[in-house]
Amino acid sequence: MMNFIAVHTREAVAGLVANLQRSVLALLGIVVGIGSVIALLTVGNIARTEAIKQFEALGTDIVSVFDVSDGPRSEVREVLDSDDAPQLARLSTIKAASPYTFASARLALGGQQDRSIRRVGVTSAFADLHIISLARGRFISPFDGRQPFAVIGSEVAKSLREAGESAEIGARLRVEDSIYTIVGELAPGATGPPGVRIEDSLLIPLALMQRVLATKEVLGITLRLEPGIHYLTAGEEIEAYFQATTPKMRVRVDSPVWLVEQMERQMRLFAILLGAVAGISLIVGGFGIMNAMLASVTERRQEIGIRRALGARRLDIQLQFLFESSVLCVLGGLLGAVIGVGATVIISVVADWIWQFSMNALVLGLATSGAVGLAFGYFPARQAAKLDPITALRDG
Amino acid sequence: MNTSWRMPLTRVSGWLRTASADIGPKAVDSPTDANWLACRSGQPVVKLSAVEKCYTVGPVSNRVLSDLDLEVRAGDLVSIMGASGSGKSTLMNILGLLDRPTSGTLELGGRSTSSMSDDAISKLRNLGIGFVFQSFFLLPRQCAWENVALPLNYRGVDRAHARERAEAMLDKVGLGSHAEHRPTELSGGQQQRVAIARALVGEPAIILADEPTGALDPQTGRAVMELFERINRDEQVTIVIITHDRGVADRCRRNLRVVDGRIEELPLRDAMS
Repeated sequence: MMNFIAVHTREAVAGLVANLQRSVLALLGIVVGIGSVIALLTVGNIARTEAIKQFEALGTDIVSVFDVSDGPRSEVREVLDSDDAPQLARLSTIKAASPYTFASARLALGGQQDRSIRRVGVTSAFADLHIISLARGRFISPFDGRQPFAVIGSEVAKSLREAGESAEIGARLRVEDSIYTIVGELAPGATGPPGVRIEDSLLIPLALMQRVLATKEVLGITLRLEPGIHYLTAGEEIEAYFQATTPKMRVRVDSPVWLVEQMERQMRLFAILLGAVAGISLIVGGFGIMNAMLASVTERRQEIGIRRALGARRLDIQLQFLFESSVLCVLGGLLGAVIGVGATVIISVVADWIWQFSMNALVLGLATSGAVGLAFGYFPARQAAKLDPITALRDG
Repeated sequence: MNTSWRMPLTRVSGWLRTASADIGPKAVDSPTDANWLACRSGQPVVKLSAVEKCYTVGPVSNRVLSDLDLEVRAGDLVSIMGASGSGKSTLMNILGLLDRPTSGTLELGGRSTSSMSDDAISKLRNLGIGFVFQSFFLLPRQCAWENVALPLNYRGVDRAHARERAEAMLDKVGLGSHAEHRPTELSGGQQQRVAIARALVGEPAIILADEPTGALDPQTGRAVMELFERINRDEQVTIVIITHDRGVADRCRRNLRVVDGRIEELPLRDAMS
């Protein structure tokens, strides 16, 4: 059996080398196909890991509460307000609460165009419950009350400096009709609650912001769970609290864990789609193989006739051509794997991702290439085997 | 060196009994393994009885061979002549198990081939028949010894052993020093000798040569014929040569002619010594 495989493999390689140009061209389709299967699946994998990492950085013990009631906001309607925060923090599953609210505002930049920023009202807990570190100065403190103190986001600081304004601690800046004193500057990379670009924001005391907006309503409350509490358990308690206090209001409780789960589901779908696209290119490559093999069979009719006359069975001829197409595809698969893995390394470097090797993609890619070789080589091999030896010898 | 080469008997092998059952690529090459039957000189190797061959194209049926009887005995050196279209190529194809008769039977070594499967027939071709063609039909990508070893590939003989035997056979046809040459590097006469070595390497029951000198100049053709005569005389290999060349036929020990799809025995022009 080993001898049989060795003989067929040697002849297959010899056959392919004899027609190098056609073999290489047929190979290209498979190389591209396998390369893209491996690259797309691996990139999909890395992208998913990266996205999950970002969400997980928000903290798996964090949930966000939003008011999602329908209809117009009338004074009669119940709203989420800042007084809910200390109440929530007293629940058994909750460790800390940080209410916040925000609105767009215009930052005056000397002679230049005003810059659109966000004015975010926060409490001192905000820094603990979000990913925030200070480049300089201090954060909003419980003692700031309604004083016009502001912590500026890194992008805001950059704009100020570019406009020639001072962004130093103690400097003053004007937003809409108010003047604020800078008490701190955030380091780049700060991440706030969903929907708030914290780098592009001005953080001010929540009480001050509420007076500006003339409402005690807040847009969201970020909560930290007690250790070991599942977000669904906390969610039930939170909903029960709101059911008791403000039954007409509908709240939504979001968790990064839940978001990660959502994202994983989406990414899986995404990976399937990418795989399908790559699979299609592989099928196209397969047709290239089939075409090359059919040309090879036509060209080598005489050889087939000679082999049959010397005692080759139909099966021997069929196997010979199947070996050729399989060798072609496996070679293409290996080359494609190298190129595909190389492409993911480059993409990872460019996108600043941590590259990871996806064994699944490699195995899937190589197995598919072998299968493509067999599937698309079958028909030409069958044609070769079905040739009548007399006709093959005469026409060759 | 293969000792069986010198055996004074032409052999037809016992695999005929099992050929239709056994189709695996197993090594059945060694005489001891394969339970060879010795076929004494003068016994029939190939026997055609009432063979008829018709080709039907659409509504037209063309009878090429009709009621043809032929016996080739072990150790024979037979020529078959005939005009173009007389059916001698068809006869050659049937003798070589490349084609099946429409009716009638072909016996090889006393076994009927009528009910054999395509695989069994292929195996029988491999073991029992050696072909020599007019235009040599060597595989251009492979060197001389690889071409010669080709029939052994289909018996599962390992490469080293096959090479040894192929080179021994090339020695025998005087091309021992050309084992690594490709067909394009050989003259026509040399190519035909490689083809003869290929036909001999499997120690077949019969060698079928279809116009073996047809593509060669007269001198080279004579050399090839001398090789056939020598093989036939020294090794008792049964040879059937299809030719339209009277000179070739005259060197054979038995002359046949296909006329209107039947065989006619021709008298020998000059007796072979």
